[in-house]
Amino acid sequence: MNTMFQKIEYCLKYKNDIVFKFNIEQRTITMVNQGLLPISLQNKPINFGLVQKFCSDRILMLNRGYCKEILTACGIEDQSDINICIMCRALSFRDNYWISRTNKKETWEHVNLYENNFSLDISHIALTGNMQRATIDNEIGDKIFTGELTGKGTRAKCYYRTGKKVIMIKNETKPEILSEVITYYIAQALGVACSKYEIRNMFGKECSVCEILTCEERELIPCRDILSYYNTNQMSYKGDYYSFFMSIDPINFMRMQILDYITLNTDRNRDNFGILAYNGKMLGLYPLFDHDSCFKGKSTNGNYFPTGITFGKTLELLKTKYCQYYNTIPIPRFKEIVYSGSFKDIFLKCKSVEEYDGMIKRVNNL
Amino acid sequence: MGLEGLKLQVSNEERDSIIENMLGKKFDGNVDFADFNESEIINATKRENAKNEIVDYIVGRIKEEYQLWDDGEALLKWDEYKQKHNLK
Repeated sequence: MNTMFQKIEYCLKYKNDIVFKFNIEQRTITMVNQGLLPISLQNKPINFGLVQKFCSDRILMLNRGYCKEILTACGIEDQSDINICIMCRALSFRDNYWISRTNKKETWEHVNLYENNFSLDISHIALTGNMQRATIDNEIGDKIFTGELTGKGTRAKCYYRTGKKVIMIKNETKPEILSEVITYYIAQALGVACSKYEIRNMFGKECSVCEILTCEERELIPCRDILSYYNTNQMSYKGDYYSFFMSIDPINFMRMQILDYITLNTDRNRDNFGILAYNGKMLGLYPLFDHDSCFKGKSTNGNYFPTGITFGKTLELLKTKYCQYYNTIPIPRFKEIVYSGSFKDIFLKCKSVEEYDGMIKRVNNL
Repeated sequence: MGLEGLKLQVSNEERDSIIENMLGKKFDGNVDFADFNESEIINATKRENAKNEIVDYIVGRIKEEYQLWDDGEALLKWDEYKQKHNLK
């Protein structure tokens, strides 16, 4: 790491409040406000490991599409997790945490991605890998920000501002995009909040487009962070994390699992669902998102990530162990909608007859 | 403080109202079919068909020019064909 960075004192902040200060050279941290620690860092020894964990959980994955191009465009040579976080201030479209130099007079109002411009050139590179727009002027710094270094997932994607809205554009195959599109309507019928996706051609690529729903008041705490709180990586219906989701928002958590059963969603991983925090407090299940892997499962015997058992066994679990909640979900009404001609019409504009028939068989099992 | 202490104590109605404000619609089991944007899907299909037709056309031209039978072989000749015809 650049020795200049090592000597400087940084701090992790929540908006304008310092959570802790840290020094990279001395590998020390000084806790300032433990009550503001991110969920993922709670329940752990207070040492420099917190900085490392925060940064490595935060940054983009190295197998993400065009990762190298993004880092190059941002002018990042030292690609250690901590350095990447420092360079982009750890700003994200997920929550209100960020990293700043302790003695720097910049405020959350000056840097946050919701109210300030972020580099559209870097966004373009993140989606297309086309480096024509990469210049020294685009390198991130005191005036140029980006959220591209703190997103999860392996697909090429980017954030873009249109009017007052921020959208996420993700390059996917047409069947994947249409899975995103139709799953929103299935979620509506089930009564579980879900992001709306549309299919668009952006910069010559077929993409799904959805609105970013986070803002200063509304933050996403991914399941990954809840697992970290319980010091585990494993998702299991027997785990503390599962009990926690069942305690905070049982009905919507069950609806998510039913939706994934019906659609055989093979990718409800720990970054693909979470908790919605509202003004810093946990409200319930975050509206569902990322449904490109719906209809990819081969059968109900496939493994379902959140429970660690098959889709079929997950449904049985919900019907038996959690029957007091399951019985409150209006399944007959849901079936009525899914069996309707109007629903079938829009489904078949997105997916095949075979996929419709397979889905109906699973709906019959509810 | 445990996770339990970080829960927001609100009624279901208040929570639904926050979600409604966030997504601009209620998720109460009713489906808004009118909201379905079919034209973008039709356009995507048109783009896909056009791309396939362009590829078929070019493969046909290459096969004709190099007297090839196999589409795979024709695709391998693409760079050579581009150079020969000064295509970008």
